Amino acid sequence: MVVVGGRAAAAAGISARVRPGLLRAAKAAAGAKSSSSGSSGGAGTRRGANQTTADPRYEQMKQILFYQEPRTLPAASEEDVERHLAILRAEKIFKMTASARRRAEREARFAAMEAAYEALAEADPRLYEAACKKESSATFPRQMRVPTETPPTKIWDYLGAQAQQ
Amino acid sequence: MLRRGLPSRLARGARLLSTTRVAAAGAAVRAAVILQRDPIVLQQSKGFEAAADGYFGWLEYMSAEQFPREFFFKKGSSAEKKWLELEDARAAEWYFDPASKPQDKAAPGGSADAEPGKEAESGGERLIAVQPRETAADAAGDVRSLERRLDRTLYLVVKDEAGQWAFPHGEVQGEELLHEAARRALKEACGGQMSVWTVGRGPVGHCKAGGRTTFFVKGHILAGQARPVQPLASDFKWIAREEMESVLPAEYWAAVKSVLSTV
Repeated sequence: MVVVGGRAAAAAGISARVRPGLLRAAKAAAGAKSSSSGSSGGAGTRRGANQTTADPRYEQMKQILFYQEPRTLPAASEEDVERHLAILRAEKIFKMTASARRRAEREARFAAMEAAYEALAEADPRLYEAACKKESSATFPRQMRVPTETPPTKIWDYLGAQAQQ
Repeated sequence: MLRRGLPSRLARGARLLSTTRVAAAGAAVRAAVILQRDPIVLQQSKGFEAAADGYFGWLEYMSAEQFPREFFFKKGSSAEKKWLELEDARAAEWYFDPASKPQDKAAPGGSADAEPGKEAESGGERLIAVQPRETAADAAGDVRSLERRLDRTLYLVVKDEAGQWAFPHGEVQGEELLHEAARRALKEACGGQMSVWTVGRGPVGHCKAGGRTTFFVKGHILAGQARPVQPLASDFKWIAREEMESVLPAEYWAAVKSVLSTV
Protein backbone atom coordinates (compact mmCIF):
# COMPACT_ATOMS: atom_id res chain seq x y z
CA MET A 1 0.00 0.00 0.00
CA VAL A 2 1.28 3.45 -0.84
CA VAL A 3 1.05 5.86 2.06
CA VAL A 4 0.98 9.34 0.64
CA GLY A 5 2.73 11.26 3.41
CA GLY A 6 5.54 8.80 4.01
CA ARG A 7 6.27 8.28 0.35
CA ALA A 8 6.40 11.98 -0.47
CA ALA A 9 8.67 12.71 2.47
CA ALA A 10 11.06 9.91 1.57
CA ALA A 11 11.15 10.94 -2.06
CA ALA A 12 11.88 14.57 -1.18
CA GLY A 13 14.61 13.48 1.18
CA ILE A 14 16.64 11.60 -1.40
CA SER A 15 15.80 13.60 -4.47
CA ALA A 16 18.79 15.95 -4.63
CA ARG A 17 21.35 13.78 -2.88
CA VAL A 18 23.77 11.42 -4.55
CA ARG A 19 24.65 8.30 -2.61
CA PRO A 20 28.43 8.80 -2.26
CA GLY A 21 29.50 5.31 -1.24
CA LEU A 22 27.84 3.70 -4.23
CA LEU A 23 29.18 6.35 -6.59
CA ARG A 24 32.74 5.75 -5.41
CA ALA A 25 32.35 2.03 -5.89
CA ALA A 26 30.93 2.55 -9.38
CA LYS A 27 33.86 4.83 -10.30
CA ALA A 28 36.34 2.24 -9.07
CA ALA A 29 34.57 -0.54 -10.96
CA ALA A 30 34.40 1.56 -14.11
CA GLY A 31 38.06 2.43 -13.79
CA ALA A 32 39.08 -1.20 -13.27
CA LYS A 33 36.87 -2.40 -16.11
CA SER A 34 38.13 0.21 -18.55
CA SER A 35 41.79 -0.39 -17.72
CA SER A 36 41.45 -4.17 -18.05
CA SER A 37 39.50 -3.89 -21.30
CA GLY A 38 42.05 -1.36 -22.55
CA SER A 39 44.96 -3.67 -21.89
CA SER A 40 43.29 -6.73 -23.40
CA GLY A 41 41.24 -5.00 -26.14
CA GLY A 42 44.03 -3.34 -28.00
CA ALA A 43 44.83 0.09 -29.38
CA GLY A 44 41.32 1.24 -30.21
CA THR A 45 40.19 1.97 -26.66
CA ARG A 46 43.23 3.79 -25.32
CA ARG A 47 44.20 7.31 -26.36
CA GLY A 48 46.97 8.11 -23.92
CA ALA A 49 48.37 7.29 -20.52
CA ASN A 50 45.88 9.48 -18.62
CA GLN A 51 42.97 9.33 -21.06
CA THR A 52 41.50 5.86 -21.05
CA THR A 53 38.25 5.99 -23.03
CA ALA A 54 35.83 3.91 -21.02
CA ASP A 55 32.74 2.31 -22.51
CA PRO A 56 30.27 5.25 -22.83
CA ARG A 57 27.51 3.09 -21.42
CA TYR A 58 29.07 3.29 -17.97
CA GLU A 59 28.56 7.04 -17.95
CA GLN A 60 24.98 6.59 -19.07
CA MET A 61 24.31 4.07 -16.34
CA LYS A 62 25.85 6.30 -13.68
CA GLN A 63 23.67 9.17 -14.85
CA ILE A 64 20.57 7.02 -14.63
CA LEU A 65 21.36 5.49 -11.25
CA PHE A 66 22.70 8.48 -9.33
CA TYR A 67 21.86 11.77 -11.00
CA GLN A 68 18.22 11.37 -11.91
CA GLU A 69 15.70 12.97 -9.66
CA PRO A 70 12.94 10.50 -8.80
CA ARG A 71 9.41 11.72 -9.26
CA THR A 72 7.41 12.67 -6.20
CA LEU A 73 3.71 12.34 -5.72
CA PRO A 74 1.79 15.55 -6.34
CA ALA A 75 0.86 17.50 -3.24
CA ALA A 76 -2.25 15.97 -1.69
CA SER A 77 -4.89 18.23 -0.16
CA GLU A 78 -6.84 17.22 2.92
CA GLU A 79 -9.69 15.99 0.76
CA ASP A 80 -7.28 13.91 -1.31
CA VAL A 81 -5.96 12.27 1.85
CA GLU A 82 -9.53 11.60 3.04
CA ARG A 83 -10.36 10.05 -0.31
CA HIS A 84 -7.21 7.94 -0.15
CA LEU A 85 -8.04 6.63 3.32
CA ALA A 86 -11.62 5.87 2.26
CA ILE A 87 -10.37 3.93 -0.75
CA LEU A 88 -7.93 1.99 1.43
CA ARG A 89 -10.73 1.12 3.85
CA ALA A 90 -13.09 0.10 1.06
CA GLU A 91 -10.41 -2.09 -0.49
CA LYS A 92 -9.76 -3.76 2.84
CA ILE A 93 -13.47 -4.50 3.29
CA PHE A 94 -13.70 -5.80 -0.28
CA LYS A 95 -10.75 -8.15 0.21
CA MET A 96 -12.05 -9.35 3.58
CA THR A 97 -15.51 -10.20 2.24
CA ALA A 98 -14.12 -11.86 -0.90
CA SER A 99 -11.69 -13.93 1.15
CA ALA A 100 -14.40 -14.93 3.65
CA ARG A 101 -16.69 -15.99 0.79
CA ARG A 102 -13.95 -18.10 -0.79
CA ARG A 103 -13.17 -19.71 2.56
CA ALA A 104 -16.85 -20.55 3.12
CA GLU A 105 -17.05 -22.13 -0.34
CA ARG A 106 -13.90 -24.16 0.31
CA GLU A 107 -15.24 -25.42 3.63
CA ALA A 108 -18.63 -26.29 2.12
CA ARG A 109 -16.90 -28.23 -0.66
CA PHE A 110 -14.86 -30.18 1.86
CA ALA A 111 -17.91 -30.85 4.06
CA ALA A 112 -19.76 -32.21 1.02
CA MET A 113 -16.88 -34.60 0.33
CA GLU A 114 -16.76 -35.72 3.97
CA ALA A 115 -20.52 -36.35 3.99
CA ALA A 116 -20.20 -38.32 0.74
CA TYR A 117 -17.50 -40.57 2.24
CA GLU A 118 -19.65 -41.20 5.32
CA ALA A 119 -22.65 -42.03 3.14
CA LEU A 120 -20.50 -44.38 1.06
CA ALA A 121 -19.28 -46.18 4.18
CA GLU A 122 -22.90 -46.71 5.15
CA ALA A 123 -24.06 -47.75 1.68
CA ASP A 124 -21.21 -49.99 0.52
CA PRO A 125 -18.17 -50.71 2.72
CA ARG A 126 -16.26 -52.41 -0.12
CA LEU A 127 -16.43 -49.25 -2.27
CA TYR A 128 -15.62 -47.10 0.76
CA GLU A 129 -12.46 -49.05 1.57
CA ALA A 130 -11.36 -48.84 -2.06
CA ALA A 131 -12.06 -45.09 -2.14
CA CYS A 132 -9.92 -44.56 0.96
CA LYS A 133 -6.86 -46.12 -0.68
CA LYS A 134 -4.33 -43.56 -1.80
CA GLU A 135 -3.45 -43.40 -5.51
CA SER A 136 0.14 -44.49 -6.00
CA SER A 137 1.27 -42.07 -8.72
CA ALA A 138 -1.19 -39.19 -8.66
CA THR A 139 -0.07 -36.39 -11.02
CA PHE A 140 -1.80 -33.68 -13.01
CA PRO A 141 -2.21 -34.56 -16.70
CA ARG A 142 0.11 -32.78 -19.11
CA GLN A 143 -2.81 -31.56 -21.25
CA MET A 144 -4.28 -29.50 -18.41
CA ARG A 145 -3.72 -25.89 -19.43
CA VAL A 146 -3.26 -22.82 -17.29
CA PRO A 147 -5.75 -20.03 -18.08
CA THR A 148 -4.35 -17.00 -19.92
CA GLU A 149 -5.43 -13.40 -20.53
CA THR A 150 -6.75 -14.20 -23.99
CA PRO A 151 -7.58 -17.58 -25.54
CA PRO A 152 -5.30 -19.48 -27.97
CA THR A 153 -5.93 -19.40 -31.72
CA LYS A 154 -7.21 -22.97 -31.54
CA ILE A 155 -9.39 -22.73 -28.48
CA TRP A 156 -10.36 -26.39 -28.02
CA ASP A 157 -8.99 -29.70 -29.27
CA TYR A 158 -11.90 -31.78 -30.54
CA LEU A 159 -9.75 -34.89 -31.08
CA GLY A 160 -10.20 -35.63 -34.78
CA ALA A 161 -12.21 -34.89 -37.93
CA GLN A 162 -15.62 -34.97 -36.22
CA ALA A 163 -15.12 -31.48 -34.86
CA GLN A 164 -17.68 -29.02 -33.49
CA GLN A 165 -20.80 -31.09 -33.07
CA MET B 1 -7.48 -34.81 6.47
CA LEU B 2 -10.06 -37.62 6.68
CA ARG B 3 -10.47 -39.32 10.04
CA ARG B 4 -9.59 -42.88 9.11
CA GLY B 5 -10.23 -44.30 12.60
CA LEU B 6 -13.99 -44.04 13.13
CA PRO B 7 -15.21 -44.72 9.57
CA SER B 8 -12.93 -47.76 9.28
CA ARG B 9 -14.38 -49.12 12.52
CA LEU B 10 -17.88 -48.48 11.19
CA ALA B 11 -17.06 -50.30 7.98
CA ARG B 12 -15.66 -53.28 9.83
CA GLY B 13 -18.79 -53.34 11.98
CA ALA B 14 -21.01 -53.24 8.89
CA ARG B 15 -19.16 -56.11 7.28
CA LEU B 16 -19.54 -58.21 10.41
CA LEU B 17 -23.33 -57.78 10.36
CA SER B 18 -24.20 -59.75 7.22
CA THR B 19 -23.17 -60.34 3.62
CA THR B 20 -26.71 -60.03 2.29
CA ARG B 21 -26.91 -56.47 3.64
CA VAL B 22 -23.76 -55.56 1.75
CA ALA B 23 -25.08 -57.03 -1.51
CA ALA B 24 -28.39 -55.18 -1.17
CA ALA B 25 -26.65 -51.92 -0.35
CA GLY B 26 -24.28 -52.33 -3.33
CA ALA B 27 -27.18 -52.59 -5.77
CA ALA B 28 -28.53 -49.16 -4.79
CA VAL B 29 -25.29 -47.29 -5.41
CA ARG B 30 -25.04 -45.09 -8.47
CA ALA B 31 -21.86 -43.51 -9.76
CA ALA B 32 -21.94 -40.21 -11.62
CA VAL B 33 -19.27 -37.89 -13.03
CA ILE B 34 -19.26 -34.13 -12.44
CA LEU B 35 -17.30 -33.40 -15.60
CA GLN B 36 -15.93 -29.88 -15.82
CA ARG B 37 -14.24 -27.82 -18.50
CA ASP B 38 -11.85 -25.57 -16.61
CA PRO B 39 -11.58 -21.84 -17.41
CA ILE B 40 -9.50 -21.06 -20.50
CA VAL B 41 -9.02 -17.34 -19.79
CA LEU B 42 -8.38 -15.53 -16.54
CA GLN B 43 -11.03 -13.57 -14.71
CA GLN B 44 -10.89 -9.87 -15.40
CA SER B 45 -11.32 -7.52 -12.46
CA LYS B 46 -14.60 -5.65 -12.60
CA GLY B 47 -16.32 -2.82 -10.77
CA PHE B 48 -14.69 -1.65 -7.54
CA GLU B 49 -11.68 -3.95 -7.90
CA ALA B 50 -10.82 -2.55 -11.34
CA ALA B 51 -11.27 1.04 -10.16
CA ALA B 52 -9.09 0.47 -7.08
CA ASP B 53 -6.41 -1.16 -9.25
CA GLY B 54 -6.46 1.93 -11.47
CA TYR B 55 -6.08 4.28 -8.48
CA PHE B 56 -3.21 2.42 -6.82
CA GLY B 57 -1.54 1.90 -10.17
CA TRP B 58 -1.64 5.65 -10.77
CA LEU B 59 -0.09 6.34 -7.36
CA GLU B 60 2.73 3.90 -8.09
CA TYR B 61 3.26 5.37 -11.56
CA MET B 62 3.39 8.93 -10.22
CA SER B 63 5.93 8.07 -7.52
CA ALA B 64 8.12 5.78 -9.60
CA GLU B 65 11.55 6.77 -10.86
CA GLN B 66 11.87 8.46 -14.23
CA PHE B 67 12.12 6.00 -17.07
CA PRO B 68 15.46 6.44 -18.90
CA ARG B 69 14.03 6.63 -22.38
CA GLU B 70 17.26 7.36 -24.24
CA PHE B 71 18.94 4.40 -22.61
CA PHE B 72 16.28 1.85 -23.54
CA PHE B 73 14.87 3.00 -26.86
CA LYS B 74 16.53 3.74 -30.16
CA LYS B 75 15.38 7.16 -31.38
CA GLY B 76 12.35 6.84 -33.62
CA SER B 77 11.95 3.07 -33.16
CA SER B 78 8.51 1.45 -33.07
CA ALA B 79 9.08 0.31 -29.48
CA GLU B 80 9.63 3.94 -28.50
CA LYS B 81 6.49 4.94 -30.37
CA LYS B 82 4.43 2.35 -28.49
CA TRP B 83 5.85 3.53 -25.19
CA LEU B 84 5.04 7.15 -26.01
CA GLU B 85 1.44 6.17 -26.80
CA LEU B 86 1.19 4.56 -23.36
CA GLU B 87 2.68 7.68 -21.77
CA ASP B 88 0.14 9.88 -23.52
CA ALA B 89 -2.67 7.73 -22.18
CA ARG B 90 -1.14 7.94 -18.70
CA ALA B 91 -0.84 11.71 -18.89
CA ALA B 92 -4.62 12.00 -19.08
CA GLU B 93 -5.06 10.30 -15.69
CA TRP B 94 -5.41 12.32 -12.51
CA TYR B 95 -6.97 11.02 -9.30
CA PHE B 96 -6.40 13.96 -6.96
CA ASP B 97 -8.25 17.28 -6.90
CA PRO B 98 -8.80 18.28 -10.56
CA ALA B 99 -7.83 21.87 -9.67
CA SER B 100 -4.33 20.67 -8.72
CA LYS B 101 -3.72 18.90 -12.04
CA PRO B 102 -0.73 20.50 -13.83
CA GLN B 103 -2.11 22.06 -17.04
CA ASP B 104 1.15 22.29 -18.98
CA LYS B 105 1.81 18.57 -19.25
CA ALA B 106 3.93 18.54 -22.43
CA ALA B 107 3.98 15.23 -24.30
CA PRO B 108 7.35 13.61 -23.41
CA GLY B 109 9.70 14.53 -26.27
CA GLY B 110 7.39 14.68 -29.31
CA SER B 111 5.22 11.68 -29.77
CA ALA B 112 4.14 11.78 -33.42
CA ASP B 113 7.38 12.62 -35.20
CA ALA B 114 9.81 10.51 -37.26
CA GLU B 115 7.86 8.84 -40.08
CA PRO B 116 5.00 7.02 -38.40
CA GLY B 117 4.32 4.47 -41.14
CA LYS B 118 7.88 3.61 -42.07
CA GLU B 119 9.03 1.69 -39.02
CA ALA B 120 6.22 -0.89 -39.05
CA GLU B 121 6.92 -1.86 -42.66
CA SER B 122 10.70 -1.74 -42.60
CA GLY B 123 10.99 -3.73 -39.35
CA GLY B 124 9.27 -6.71 -40.93
CA GLU B 125 7.32 -7.27 -37.72
CA ARG B 126 4.84 -10.07 -37.51
CA LEU B 127 1.77 -8.73 -35.85
CA ILE B 128 0.36 -11.22 -33.33
CA ALA B 129 -3.41 -11.28 -33.59
CA VAL B 130 -4.83 -11.38 -30.08
CA GLN B 131 -7.95 -13.54 -29.89
CA PRO B 132 -11.06 -12.04 -28.31
CA ARG B 133 -12.28 -13.32 -24.95
CA GLU B 134 -15.86 -13.50 -26.23
CA THR B 135 -16.23 -16.19 -28.88
CA ALA B 136 -18.75 -17.00 -31.60
CA ALA B 137 -20.31 -19.52 -29.23
CA ASP B 138 -20.94 -16.69 -26.73
CA ALA B 139 -22.62 -14.58 -29.38
CA ALA B 140 -24.78 -17.49 -30.55
CA GLY B 141 -25.54 -18.70 -27.01
CA ASP B 142 -24.61 -22.25 -28.04
CA VAL B 143 -24.90 -24.20 -24.76
CA ARG B 144 -23.45 -27.36 -26.33
CA SER B 145 -20.20 -25.60 -27.20
CA LEU B 146 -17.02 -25.95 -25.15
CA GLU B 147 -15.85 -22.53 -26.35
CA ARG B 148 -18.57 -20.61 -24.55
CA ARG B 149 -17.85 -18.53 -21.42
CA LEU B 150 -14.11 -19.04 -21.45
CA ASP B 151 -13.58 -17.39 -18.06
CA ARG B 152 -15.91 -19.79 -16.23
CA THR B 153 -15.96 -23.47 -15.25
CA LEU B 154 -18.53 -25.35 -17.36
CA TYR B 155 -20.18 -28.58 -16.23
CA LEU B 156 -21.66 -31.33 -18.39
CA VAL B 157 -25.31 -32.21 -17.80
CA VAL B 158 -27.26 -34.75 -19.86
CA LYS B 159 -30.95 -35.41 -20.31
CA ASP B 160 -31.42 -38.97 -19.06
CA GLU B 161 -34.08 -41.58 -19.89
CA ALA B 162 -36.58 -40.04 -17.47
CA GLY B 163 -36.22 -36.69 -19.24
CA GLN B 164 -34.43 -35.13 -16.24
CA TRP B 165 -31.25 -33.11 -16.52
CA ALA B 166 -28.48 -34.61 -14.39
CA PHE B 167 -24.78 -35.46 -14.43
CA PRO B 168 -23.94 -38.58 -16.49
CA HIS B 169 -24.58 -41.56 -14.21
CA GLY B 170 -24.82 -45.34 -14.11
CA GLU B 171 -25.16 -48.24 -11.67
CA VAL B 172 -22.10 -49.80 -10.05
CA GLN B 173 -21.92 -53.28 -11.59
CA GLY B 174 -20.19 -56.41 -10.34
CA GLU B 175 -16.89 -55.96 -8.55
CA GLU B 176 -15.93 -52.60 -10.08
CA LEU B 177 -14.92 -49.65 -7.94
CA LEU B 178 -16.68 -46.29 -7.72
CA HIS B 179 -14.34 -44.31 -9.98
CA GLU B 180 -14.29 -47.17 -12.52
CA ALA B 181 -18.09 -47.31 -12.56
CA ALA B 182 -18.26 -43.53 -12.99
CA ARG B 183 -15.87 -43.57 -15.99
CA ARG B 184 -17.73 -46.45 -17.60
CA ALA B 185 -21.09 -44.70 -17.11
CA LEU B 186 -19.68 -41.50 -18.67
CA LYS B 187 -18.39 -43.40 -21.69
CA GLU B 188 -21.68 -45.28 -22.16
CA ALA B 189 -23.79 -42.14 -21.92
CA CYS B 190 -21.56 -39.61 -23.68
CA GLY B 191 -19.35 -41.59 -26.05
CA GLY B 192 -15.64 -42.34 -25.92
CA GLN B 193 -14.56 -39.19 -27.81
CA MET B 194 -13.48 -37.33 -24.72
CA SER B 195 -10.12 -37.28 -22.98
CA VAL B 196 -11.05 -37.18 -19.29
CA TRP B 197 -9.07 -37.06 -16.07
CA THR B 198 -11.05 -38.28 -13.04
CA VAL B 199 -9.65 -37.04 -9.76
CA GLY B 200 -8.97 -39.71 -7.15
CA ARG B 201 -10.90 -42.81 -6.27
CA GLY B 202 -13.64 -41.37 -4.08
CA PRO B 203 -16.70 -39.13 -4.26
CA VAL B 204 -16.84 -35.35 -3.91
CA GLY B 205 -20.55 -35.34 -3.15
CA HIS B 206 -23.65 -37.48 -2.98
CA CYS B 207 -27.41 -37.29 -3.47
CA LYS B 208 -29.96 -39.55 -1.77
CA ALA B 209 -33.14 -39.89 -3.77
CA GLY B 210 -35.82 -42.57 -3.56
CA GLY B 211 -33.89 -45.40 -1.95
CA ARG B 212 -30.77 -45.07 -4.10
CA THR B 213 -27.73 -42.91 -3.52
CA THR B 214 -25.74 -41.31 -6.32
CA PHE B 215 -22.06 -40.61 -5.62
CA PHE B 216 -20.33 -37.97 -7.71
CA VAL B 217 -16.76 -38.35 -8.90
CA LYS B 218 -14.99 -35.22 -10.14
CA GLY B 219 -13.57 -35.19 -13.65
CA HIS B 220 -11.88 -32.70 -15.97
CA ILE B 221 -12.36 -32.83 -19.73
CA LEU B 222 -9.02 -32.23 -21.42
CA ALA B 223 -10.03 -32.66 -25.07
CA GLY B 224 -12.85 -33.95 -27.27
CA GLN B 225 -16.58 -33.41 -27.02
CA ALA B 226 -19.58 -35.22 -25.58
CA ARG B 227 -21.68 -37.24 -28.02
CA PRO B 228 -24.84 -38.44 -26.27
CA VAL B 229 -25.78 -42.08 -26.81
CA GLN B 230 -29.51 -42.31 -27.37
CA PRO B 231 -31.32 -44.41 -24.74
CA LEU B 232 -29.12 -43.21 -21.87
CA ALA B 233 -28.74 -39.56 -22.87
CA SER B 234 -30.85 -37.69 -25.40
CA ASP B 235 -29.23 -34.27 -25.09
CA PHE B 236 -26.36 -32.50 -23.35
CA LYS B 237 -25.31 -29.03 -22.21
CA TRP B 238 -22.15 -27.38 -20.91
CA ILE B 239 -23.31 -24.83 -18.35
CA ALA B 240 -21.81 -22.75 -15.57
CA ARG B 241 -22.85 -22.96 -11.91
CA GLU B 242 -25.32 -20.06 -12.01
CA GLU B 243 -27.13 -21.62 -14.97
CA MET B 244 -27.61 -24.93 -13.17
CA GLU B 245 -30.26 -24.06 -10.63
CA SER B 246 -32.97 -23.58 -13.24
CA VAL B 247 -32.02 -26.81 -15.01
CA LEU B 248 -31.55 -29.39 -12.23
CA PRO B 249 -34.28 -30.80 -9.94
CA ALA B 250 -34.44 -29.01 -6.58
CA GLU B 251 -33.01 -31.70 -4.23
CA TYR B 252 -30.31 -32.62 -6.77
CA TRP B 253 -29.21 -28.98 -6.96
CA ALA B 254 -29.19 -28.74 -3.15
CA ALA B 255 -26.86 -31.76 -3.01
CA VAL B 256 -24.35 -30.54 -5.60
CA LYS B 257 -24.30 -26.76 -5.30
CA SER B 258 -21.50 -26.67 -2.71
CA VAL B 259 -19.37 -28.92 -4.95
CA LEU B 260 -19.54 -26.64 -8.00
CA SER B 261 -17.11 -23.78 -8.50
CA THR B 262 -18.11 -20.12 -8.62
CA VAL B 263 -15.07 -19.30 -10.75
